Amino acid sequence: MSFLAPGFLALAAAAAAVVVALHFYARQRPRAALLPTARFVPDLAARAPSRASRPADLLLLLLRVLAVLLVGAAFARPVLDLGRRPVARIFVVDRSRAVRSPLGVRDTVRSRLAAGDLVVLFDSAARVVREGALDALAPGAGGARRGGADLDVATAALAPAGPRGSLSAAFALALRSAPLVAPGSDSIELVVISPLVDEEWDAATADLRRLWRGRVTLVPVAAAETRPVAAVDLRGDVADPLRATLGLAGRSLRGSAGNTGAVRLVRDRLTPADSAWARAGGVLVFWPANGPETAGGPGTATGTLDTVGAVVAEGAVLVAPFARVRGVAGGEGGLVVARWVDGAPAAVERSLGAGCERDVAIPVALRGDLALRAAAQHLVAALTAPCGGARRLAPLPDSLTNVLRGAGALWPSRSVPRREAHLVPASAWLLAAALLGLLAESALRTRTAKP
Amino acid sequence: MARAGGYGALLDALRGVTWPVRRTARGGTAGTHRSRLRGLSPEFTEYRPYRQGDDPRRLDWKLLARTDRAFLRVTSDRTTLGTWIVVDASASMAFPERTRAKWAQACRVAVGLTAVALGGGDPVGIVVPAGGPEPGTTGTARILPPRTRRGTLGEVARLLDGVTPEGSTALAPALALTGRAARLAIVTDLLGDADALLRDARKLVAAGADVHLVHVVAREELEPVAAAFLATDPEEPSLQRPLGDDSREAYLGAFDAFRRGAARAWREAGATYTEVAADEPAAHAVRRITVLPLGVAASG
Repeated sequence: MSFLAPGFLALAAAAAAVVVALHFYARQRPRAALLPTARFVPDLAARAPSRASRPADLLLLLLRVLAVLLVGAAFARPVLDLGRRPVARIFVVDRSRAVRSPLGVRDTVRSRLAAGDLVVLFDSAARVVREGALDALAPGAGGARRGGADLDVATAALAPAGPRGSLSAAFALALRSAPLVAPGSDSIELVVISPLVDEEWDAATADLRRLWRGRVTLVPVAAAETRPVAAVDLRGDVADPLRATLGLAGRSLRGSAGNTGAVRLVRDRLTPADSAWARAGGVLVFWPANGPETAGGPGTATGTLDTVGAVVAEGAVLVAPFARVRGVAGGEGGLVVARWVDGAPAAVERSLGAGCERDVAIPVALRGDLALRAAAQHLVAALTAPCGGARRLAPLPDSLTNVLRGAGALWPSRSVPRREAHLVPASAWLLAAALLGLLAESALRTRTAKP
Repeated sequence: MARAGGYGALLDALRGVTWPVRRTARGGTAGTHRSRLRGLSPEFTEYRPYRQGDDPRRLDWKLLARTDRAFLRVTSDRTTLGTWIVVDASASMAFPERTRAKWAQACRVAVGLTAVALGGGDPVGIVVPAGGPEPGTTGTARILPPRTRRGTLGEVARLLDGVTPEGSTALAPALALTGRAARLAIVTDLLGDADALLRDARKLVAAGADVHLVHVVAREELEPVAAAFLATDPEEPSLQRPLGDDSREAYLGAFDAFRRGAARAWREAGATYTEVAADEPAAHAVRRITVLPLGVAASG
């Protein structure tokens, strides 16, 4: 048992000592005796201080001291940690698209997971694995491991998802989860099971890592393979300037609709077949050509003319006087892949079955060299990237992995910030016991006071 | 409790003690006390010139014959003195609880006074007021009318032995039971209806009675135990006051002032006041009660 506020124990001990002292030197009611001339005694208070030479009313004293100590113990907020461990572990498991195989991750987790460990899964966001989802990976009561259907459930829980992974999200949730395991352990170990690729590192990762005040165990797993740049199936005018842009960007072009290219760029109108194709796993980019006659699809026409406008996507900035003849709505589930400089979305990606659909509202002039600029090439490359954006699956450099790993000891549990103070269940029981003690003391005192 | 036969030593110690009256007595029965009446007693006192209206039978004819002057022969009469003894039997007299020393002393003093009065040929009666059902009320009193016959002392002793002091008894109503007593001895601790008792006693003194107050005080009341305790009035249990080191002096001062005030008041009323400690030898106390104060000529 440990106490969250042990100072109250010392306070209760001091109060109990005072109670004991007062018990032996208290204002007691002297014994009554007949005296016919009592009327000549001054009418003073019927209680006078007297020091008891021998302890009396020991049961009363015991009840009072017990009540004081119980109240102190209740406020000290005891925590029963019968299963206390020297080290509590939080597993941060990557299930993003950067993971090659869930089986590898599952086996890694299975080899390290112990009962009572906390598992956090992350891709673009992170969540604590609900209780029971990974039971098959943890040792059973007898040390045996389960198999069969339970393993399948665990494997499915670890299956890589489409979004890009975020180590920042993983560290943020690990920090929030640390107070959950701290009371039952002496220190906390954070185990990161991830391919640790470049796309999972962002500007906040280093700062969030510094908030974890201990070393981190990194367990690399196999990263997904880098796929070759997919061919683009452009459906539109032959003189479409985007053909030149794609060519300059090094993207190969397929001939016509119905081809099996991984990316379909639609410059005219969407058809149900396009959506069906996207659901089958393709990347459908709906990028209507300029002009009111081609405007359509989702979005709202704004007619805003940027005298000096720009659009930003995946680090590519294209500056030009764009006329915003239509807009796109981010909406629920939409991922903004390009923005105007004022923050309005210029291109939005939505999941569609196994693939995705991108709605692009960036006008491309038929004349001029806009489409030939290097910035335009980067923009087009970003907008025709696989679902979820371009994959940067190169391993993190050693400098960054060293930052993640850190040095020194594990994070001591006592230095983990406590959650907001609240009355633990044991405190309520102790308070109830103290109340019972006080009631018994009152009853006993009333009975002994009677002549 | 002492029984009638247990007063032997006291009675022996009081043998020969007299209880002279402080003033002439009213009464015609021959006794030891000087009577207000003067007349036919053989004990010659003086001659007085005859005045018109005197009984001619009282003329000293021989003197008239010798001197031709008319003188009356004046003689002193001796009479008895009816004596009542009123004994307080309230709960405060049963103190201390263990020994009841106050009540025992009151009984010894009453028996002693009875013996002395009977020894002088005076009829002696006793009244022991009984407490009523409520504090301060009077119930049926135990009364033994004044008499001089043999066995009176034993009857008085038995009556007292049969009384258990309890309750809160008013003494003043008991004085009315004594009628026009010639001599009255009140044995009490003055912790009851002291004011009413003094008022009624004043009336008796004015009527010619010889009133004696015997104030019985326990040693524990004069010198309370050193240990602090909660003093509880036996006649009024709700009255509880702590008596300790800080209140002892005040208590002693107040009690002393009470006793001095009572003595002054009773003496000013024409009665005698005698404070008797419970542990004082009863014979000694009786002698102090029966002795005449300085400056008062014995009439008996």
